[in-house]
Amino acid sequence: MEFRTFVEAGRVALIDKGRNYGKLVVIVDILDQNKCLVDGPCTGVKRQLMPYKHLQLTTIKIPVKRASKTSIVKRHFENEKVAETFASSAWGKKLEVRNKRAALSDYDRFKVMVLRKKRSSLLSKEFKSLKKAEA
Amino acid sequence: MVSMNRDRRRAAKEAAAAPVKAAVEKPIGGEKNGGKRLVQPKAAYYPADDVKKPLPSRKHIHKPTKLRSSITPGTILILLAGNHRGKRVVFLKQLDTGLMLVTGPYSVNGVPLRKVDQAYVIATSTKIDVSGVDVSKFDGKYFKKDKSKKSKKTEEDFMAVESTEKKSEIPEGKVADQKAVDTAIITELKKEEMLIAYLGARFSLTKGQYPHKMVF
Repeated sequence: MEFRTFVEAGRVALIDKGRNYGKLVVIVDILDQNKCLVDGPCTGVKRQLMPYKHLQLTTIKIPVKRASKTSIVKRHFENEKVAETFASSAWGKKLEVRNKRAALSDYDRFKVMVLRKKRSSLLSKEFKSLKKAEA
Repeated sequence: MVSMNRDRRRAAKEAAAAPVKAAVEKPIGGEKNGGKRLVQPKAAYYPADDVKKPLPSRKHIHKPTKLRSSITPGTILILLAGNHRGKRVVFLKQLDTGLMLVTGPYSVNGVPLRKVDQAYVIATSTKIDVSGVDVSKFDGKYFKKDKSKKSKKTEEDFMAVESTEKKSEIPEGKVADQKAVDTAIITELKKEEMLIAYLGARFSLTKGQYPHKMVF
């Protein structure tokens, strides 16, 4: 399988380490094989060098040229609705669910547990009846 | 040195115990002086030596225990130790001894009105309204055991195959108290669909759950 997402100017990436964990940034320039220059004017990340090890590339790419200014990055980030696109992707949805789950209180967790049980019992009942009908 | 301290202590004690003479009412001359005045009679003599008072002991100053800010009346707590560990209970109030008064309620999960130290609970963010529960009669003394009942065992009792001793019964007054508190709480619990089931269930950790990283 060939690679589809590359480290290049305009590539949107998710930070998965450090204090900016979970924020979206745009790769603006490439320093060497370890680091690149990223900028996240819409997500509160200052323009800085960041190792690739802290980044996860997304499939989103915005049309900024190499070493673009912060203001230009910002304009394209907003025009292309990068944040919305990411949030509606499967990855973004998974992250949202994970964050929601982590913020649940003890009582909420209990409620989720009860409802899950209810759902699975309904499912298994339906499944069994269908199986019977088929046989 | 020891005797000196002892003398000092005794002197201070006597000084403190010496009867204070009552104030005497005396007539006062002059028109605008109100006619009479209460006057403290002067002592006939006073000790020639200065008696040093011992410094007050700082050992036995009772400071009331400060509960965590997350624990307020009505908070649901998770018990961490003892027979009821893992059970969720309702916090009612802080007793004068500093311990917390909690109950299951008894009819929901079997936890009676009980004293608990705050170190042995996790406070959750779930709260119910317990303003309708009367807890004024509960204090540290309420939970003291009646010691007069204990009787010594005779030789026959020891030898008896079946114990003649009856299991101590819970006094009726306490049963009634528990019922009164339970009914008041349960009406409040019924306002939400799953609260009773929640309090009836035990808390436990599953795979991938780390209590220090969890929100309660």
